[in-house]
Amino acid sequence: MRKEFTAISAFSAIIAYTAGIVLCMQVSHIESAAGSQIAGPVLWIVEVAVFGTAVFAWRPRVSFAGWVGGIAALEVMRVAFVSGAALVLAIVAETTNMAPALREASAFVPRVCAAGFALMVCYPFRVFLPDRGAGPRRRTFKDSAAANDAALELVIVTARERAANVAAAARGEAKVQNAPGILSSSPMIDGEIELSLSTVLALMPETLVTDRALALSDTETMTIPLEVVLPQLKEAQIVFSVAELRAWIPLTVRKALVQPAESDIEMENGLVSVPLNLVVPQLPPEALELPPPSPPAWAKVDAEERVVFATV
Amino acid sequence: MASINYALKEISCKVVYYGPGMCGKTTNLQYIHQHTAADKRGNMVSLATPGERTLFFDFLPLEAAQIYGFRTKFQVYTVPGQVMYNSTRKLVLRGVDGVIFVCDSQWEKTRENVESFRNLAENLSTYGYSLETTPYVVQYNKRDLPNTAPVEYLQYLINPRQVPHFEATAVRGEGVFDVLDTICTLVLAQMSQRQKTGVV
Repeated sequence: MRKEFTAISAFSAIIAYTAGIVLCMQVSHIESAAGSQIAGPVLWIVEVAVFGTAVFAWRPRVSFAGWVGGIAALEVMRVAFVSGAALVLAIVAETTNMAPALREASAFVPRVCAAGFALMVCYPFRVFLPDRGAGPRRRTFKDSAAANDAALELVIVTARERAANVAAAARGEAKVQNAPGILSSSPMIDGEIELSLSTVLALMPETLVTDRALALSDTETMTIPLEVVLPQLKEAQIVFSVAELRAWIPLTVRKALVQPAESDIEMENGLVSVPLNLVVPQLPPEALELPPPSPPAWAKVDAEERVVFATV
Repeated sequence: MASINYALKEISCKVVYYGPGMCGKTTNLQYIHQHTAADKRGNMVSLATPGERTLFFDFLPLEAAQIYGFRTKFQVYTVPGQVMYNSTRKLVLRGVDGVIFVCDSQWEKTRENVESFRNLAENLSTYGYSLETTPYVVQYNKRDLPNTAPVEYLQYLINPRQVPHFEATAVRGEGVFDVLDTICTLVLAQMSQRQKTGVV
């Protein structure tokens, strides 16, 4: 179970669901001029657009299947609100015919309420939406032919790219010092590791972290792709620039941090070391898989010929 | 390098405990000194600071069982682990026959372990030795502490070739003699092989 989704979230969802039904039921009595003018299909399209945007805003790295699933879940929840309100209306009217109550509860205003409450109820469940896999990396300016052309003297590099370059350079420097016997390549494994956001914020420069960000980070987590972790494993240290870490922080908390434009560029390039004990236990076993044993010639000794010291 | 004195019927080898600072090299040697039969060991020499940090080296002469009528003597050394004493470490490695790499299992020491292992390879190369030709074993020390990295990860970092390795708690003596017995076996086996092939 993801850390964000706690018993409190579940309890809040139940309260919101109950409140939503009551509100939908109440507002269904309101005569709405707009309701009569907006056609059903238009309402559906607007609703799907709003839900789609919400799912994307909650989880920018959501996969396509996750995005569609999220919209579907929101629609189901909205229908549940409307149905719940209609059921209560039918009970109050002491009738078994649900059709009039359902029509009343599906009018424009109660439907907007139901959609709003569906968003509220579904919000804690966003952590279950699957993220996109590693997939093809987004093409950045430095990958372009222009940036690779040595004849060009003017190269535009964004602050984030520059910070990533600094971090990569720091890691590359260590790579040069590879000792014999130490693995020179890491397996390519898809996946990600999850870190408590409050822990990550504690590692970042204090001047970047606002009180609001700390408050928001309380139950949040962030994910880091394995593809950037694995190459660093053999160095026994996992470092990222502040700018790199910032990019992985969920949008809501990221917005609450001191923004890069306001912070020092040196600070954005500064390196943050992520404790190994938070990362290594989450790695899949194949990440630490060793090649077949290749002990040197001197290591092949008959166990019968052991030297044993006399001990007391 | 190992020497054979045919007149005295003695084989003499040098074993060095290597590793990052405070990983337990001296603790290993002290335990061996305390638990070896008195007639099979000499006095332990320690050149340490008042804070019990090794300043130059620790030295303990040991004697193992006789092999084909030859007395086998091991001069066991430790190096100072602190980064600033590299020239001393280099000096202690001169003529080494076998190395015990002591690895501090604590999470926060993993980086130091890797750096120390690289330093070992580098210092050996100054004498023309390498980890390909010099027997070494790995001891994962301090396994009793709560904040230890899993052995799988330490193996991934230090010992992907999977030479003999042992988990140990030197302060309690666990794994101390296993490591010593193994490295001495490897050193003698290599020496025997060299004698047979005429490469000395």
